[in-house]
Amino acid sequence: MIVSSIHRLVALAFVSLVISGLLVFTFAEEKSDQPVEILRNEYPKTLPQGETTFSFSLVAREDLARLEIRFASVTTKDLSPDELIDPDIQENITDPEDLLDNVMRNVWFVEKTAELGIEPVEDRMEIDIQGSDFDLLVRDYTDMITCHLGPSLLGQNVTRNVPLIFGVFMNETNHQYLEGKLDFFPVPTLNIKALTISHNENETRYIPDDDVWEGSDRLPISSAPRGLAVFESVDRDDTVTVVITVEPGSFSRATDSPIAMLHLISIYIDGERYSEPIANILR
Amino acid sequence: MMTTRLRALIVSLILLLNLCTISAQSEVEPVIVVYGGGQSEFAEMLATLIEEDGSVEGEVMVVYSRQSVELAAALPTTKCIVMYADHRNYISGLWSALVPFFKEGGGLVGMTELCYMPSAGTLATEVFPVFGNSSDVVTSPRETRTRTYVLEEETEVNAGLPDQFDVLSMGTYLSADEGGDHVRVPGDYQVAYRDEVTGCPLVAVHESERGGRSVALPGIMVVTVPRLDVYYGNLISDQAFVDLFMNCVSWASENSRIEAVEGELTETISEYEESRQDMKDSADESDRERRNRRLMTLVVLWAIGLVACAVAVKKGLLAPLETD
Repeated sequence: MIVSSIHRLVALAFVSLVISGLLVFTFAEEKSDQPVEILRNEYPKTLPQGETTFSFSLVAREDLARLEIRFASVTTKDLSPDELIDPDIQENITDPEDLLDNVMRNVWFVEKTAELGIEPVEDRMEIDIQGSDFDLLVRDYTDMITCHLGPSLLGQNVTRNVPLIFGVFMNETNHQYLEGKLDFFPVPTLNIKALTISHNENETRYIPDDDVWEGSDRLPISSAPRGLAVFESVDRDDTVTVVITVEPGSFSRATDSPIAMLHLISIYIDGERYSEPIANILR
Repeated sequence: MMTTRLRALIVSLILLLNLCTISAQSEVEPVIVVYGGGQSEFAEMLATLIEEDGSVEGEVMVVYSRQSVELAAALPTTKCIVMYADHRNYISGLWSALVPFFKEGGGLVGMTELCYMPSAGTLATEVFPVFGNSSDVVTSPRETRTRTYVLEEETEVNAGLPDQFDVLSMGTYLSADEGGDHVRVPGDYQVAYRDEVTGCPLVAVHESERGGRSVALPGIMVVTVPRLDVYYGNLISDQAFVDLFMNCVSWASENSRIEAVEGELTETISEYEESRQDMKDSADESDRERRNRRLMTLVVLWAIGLVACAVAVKKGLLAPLETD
């Protein structure tokens, strides 16, 4: 009788443990480790002549004190031999870093900023351009100089029109030098027809300065943040969206360049960059 | 006794360490950037003048491209940008970086093409207020190719210079009417020297609301050919020009930007690092709190589940068996 009771008790305990364990493990599995999830990243693969739209959207998977989406517009630049430290070695370089370090102004700026303790955010990734793989190297000074030192020390506008992103992409047969700045498009006042930054239903819309009329809830594009969409107190499941409508018409590109523009999109969560930037290539 | 000596030694070491740290932090070497707009040798000569004169503190650097000048505007330690150009190609688009640089407190010295509106855009109006739309140039080497500088207003750039002196030059840019006669453009700038013949400004000084300083020298027109009288090498050896040029660079270099940077740069950079670290720490902390809350929820859930299972098994499985 006693043995039977003990057996029952053990069986009861065992079955209870198994069932409750199963229940807990079912709930214990975290749905996502990612604080944000990209819902949409739409852009034209080839830059058309007429109006076109770029759309980028994120959903927060947890509460975030501050979420930033930074857009950098990077374009190719033709370099003349006198802009290179050693023009003779240019064609034989195989490493993107060596290529970037052969550009006189870039080396000068790197040295001068390093003396002050200012370091760039450096990214290296592989990109695909028309079916060919390229190594992409980007050095980005915008975080420190534009976003931090600029507003407090150098003044709001000093770095607005200065390219502080340098890069190269290369493979065995081709290489191209890149320069860019933090902005939704290279010349926003010329190229952007509408810019909408929204946090759930709250929407801020910018349109060309000449189209803003008194009493309108639209803001002039010249007052838009340069390439920066900042969202404070983002709750779990909140959606943030940036939609840019552009008229690339007057947009110029470097000769022989396989790309028209590189849109680098970086996500910053609570001041820290979240993963390497997303590189949207526009031909 | 030993303890007192040891304590004194430790205190001295700490003080020495602190002094070293403070001195390292305040060592912000300003930069004076010189751009020759295609005439790099001239830029190098101007840079040597500044270095040899020694009155302007800082590292003198020659840059060789328009883009480097733009970068110089974004470099926190740039206190003065000195520019010469004889063709618009060397300066096109520079206004977009340099007008804000001046407005926010930077120092600039601009010669020749920088004062000509069709080439320099708003630089020739907002920074170097010559409003140049015309030129007065002597092309024949047989004629005397100098401009006579006549004192107009007493400013700091006149210091030590005579009221009138000649500087060799092929010509000058000026604001003029359709007949080519100089037209004075009103503004909040000062004309330090005027041209004896045309009456147009040859040295115009200007300050921005936020403490930027600029000096316009529209009458410095020189060439690269050594056999000609207006060769830039000859200009460099002219003491009147050297004195005027150094006065201009010294005055433009004492601007509000460099004062702010010298005082706050290292502090701002360390604040930036600290704020980034704080944000990271607070994000880590909230992540830890979230995980702890979740763990507690799971433990409670597990305990409730355990009791519920025990009750369900006892009532649903064992009780019927016991009844049987």
